[in-house]
Amino acid sequence: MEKPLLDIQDLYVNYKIYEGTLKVLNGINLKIEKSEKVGLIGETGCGKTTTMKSILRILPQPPAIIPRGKIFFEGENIFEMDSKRLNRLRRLGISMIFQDPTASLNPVFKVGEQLGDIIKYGALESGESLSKEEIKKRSLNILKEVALPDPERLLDNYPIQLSGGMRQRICIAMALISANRLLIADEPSTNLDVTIGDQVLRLIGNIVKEKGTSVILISHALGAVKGLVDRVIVMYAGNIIEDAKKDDLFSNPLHPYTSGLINSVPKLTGGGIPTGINGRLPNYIDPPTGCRFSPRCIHAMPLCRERTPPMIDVGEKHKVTCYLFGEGGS
Amino acid sequence: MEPLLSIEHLKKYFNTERGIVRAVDDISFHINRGETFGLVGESGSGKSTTAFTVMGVYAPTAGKIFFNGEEVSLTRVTKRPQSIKKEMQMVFQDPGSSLNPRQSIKQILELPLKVHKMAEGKRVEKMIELLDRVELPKDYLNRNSPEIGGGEKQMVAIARAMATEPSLIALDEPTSALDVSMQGKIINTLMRLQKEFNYSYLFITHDLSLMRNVATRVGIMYLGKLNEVAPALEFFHKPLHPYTQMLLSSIPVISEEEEKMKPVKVVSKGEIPSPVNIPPGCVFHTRCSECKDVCFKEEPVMVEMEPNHYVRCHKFTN
Repeated sequence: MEKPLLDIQDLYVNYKIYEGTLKVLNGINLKIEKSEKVGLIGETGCGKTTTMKSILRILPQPPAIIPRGKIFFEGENIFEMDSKRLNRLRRLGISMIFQDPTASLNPVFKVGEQLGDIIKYGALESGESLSKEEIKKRSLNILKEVALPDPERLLDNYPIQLSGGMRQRICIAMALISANRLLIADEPSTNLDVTIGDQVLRLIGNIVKEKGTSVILISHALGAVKGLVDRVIVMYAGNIIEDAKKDDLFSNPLHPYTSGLINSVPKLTGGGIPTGINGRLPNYIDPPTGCRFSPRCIHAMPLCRERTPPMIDVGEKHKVTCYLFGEGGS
Repeated sequence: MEPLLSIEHLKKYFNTERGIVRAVDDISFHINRGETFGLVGESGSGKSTTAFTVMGVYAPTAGKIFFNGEEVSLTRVTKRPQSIKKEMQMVFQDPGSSLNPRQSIKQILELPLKVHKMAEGKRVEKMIELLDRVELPKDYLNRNSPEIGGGEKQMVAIARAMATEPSLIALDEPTSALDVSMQGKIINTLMRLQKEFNYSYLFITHDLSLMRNVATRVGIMYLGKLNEVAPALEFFHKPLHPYTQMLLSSIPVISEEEEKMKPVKVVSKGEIPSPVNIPPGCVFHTRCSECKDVCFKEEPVMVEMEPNHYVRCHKFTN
């Protein structure tokens, strides 16, 4: 069998701060195949972005510490790469779109300069040296690809002269230059209006389909996730708690946290406001033993507080970590 | 019955270096007692400016605001009588920045009571009662806002708005800074308190699924103008304005029933133009899929298509 594109094995991440050690990621195991589109959901502070940043090795260390774990990208361990290999990975393999396009563009350089640099050094990495004209030609092409009007003028603009939707398209354009194999989109539409967010997600969907790029989409907007991905992974307090095909997950959520999360979303068809999930995320310095969701869970049993439930298969490509399932299978 | 709040031809312009920003441009609507009037629209459409002008943060450029039949618009906020200010309160989007991190919850809740001259001996009892309304224990009085969670902070902000026993509360995106799991609790508390105290809400949000579940009537704004006002059910099931249809069809949803009730997909295109250069004619013509010649030249007028269902589009005026 072919190796997965991305393979995270038993990843732990701690943050060392004044008050103590925050045990954030608690053993993440995750495989992403080629051309697969995956959604990652969970409340704020569940460790979604921390996981993604570990993949690119852009976690600030300190405060972050990675005591255990391996991440393989195309069979190569990211943690063992030297800086040269790492740069190559970031320029040609994986790239990331961040939530706030304003913060991820440099305000004192023109769009053309920022795009041009990525194209220039990306090409150098693959042994090509580009002329100024060639760089400009490629910049214009990539801007056209993300459906930006008047690309010629845009190259000469500063990010501040553009609207939020346009800036996010530029970030997508930049990510696409280098994302040949994996695109990580961290809440790309959260800061945008409904209509603009819809445009941005459609754009990402079309482009990755064309290029066969794998995508990890992180989002609070469950509807947005459902529109774009094939498979959904749910995280809670540093653990992956459910992993299933999109339709399975939304029609038949198993983990009490997943169903709580899905039920918290108000429906367009009415029917009142759901109550949400009681309580809040645990304190990471002293997280609950056993299942980290047990203090908020309405089904919690004594066993849940003692031992961490393992990830079990409950159906075709449907996995869950909860003692309510398994023990003889379902 | 006379509405609690009614707004007639309200305008609010700002002078900036780049020219005049017409943030709110000739809007009229009313809010009845005990109802939730929802304002939706993209950012920059003038929702918050409308709320701020109603509350008296801004003096209107033109137009009238009536509260309980009494005109309250002519005076600047400093000159609104205390008895009127007491009746209108506001809850802001981000509780992290609307609560002073250096003050205890007690100081935060006590200020409106002090301003509105409640006797000192009665204040603690009142503050405990306010915390009880939002289901927070009384020992929270001695905590500071950074010590409590985001959802609890917003609950404190709500309790503060209720301290003066207002009849109108403007809620400006009260849950958009919070997780969905927290949103339900806040909204349910607001709805319960509305029943109990007969508050009227001016509810602002860009989350249309949420709006469907809280509002009794909804108005949709675009570039400072109201495009459609309708009872919530009709607004979501029979949207008339092309912009409403575009917005509703753009919402990402998770269940099949929701997918079915969305209008036929209107592919969203373009962006909201700058409020400095408002397009001539109908302001939506730059993004409209059903645009006709007349839309470039003439501004449409609001017409009543069904009882209480108003729309402003040339499609419906011949």
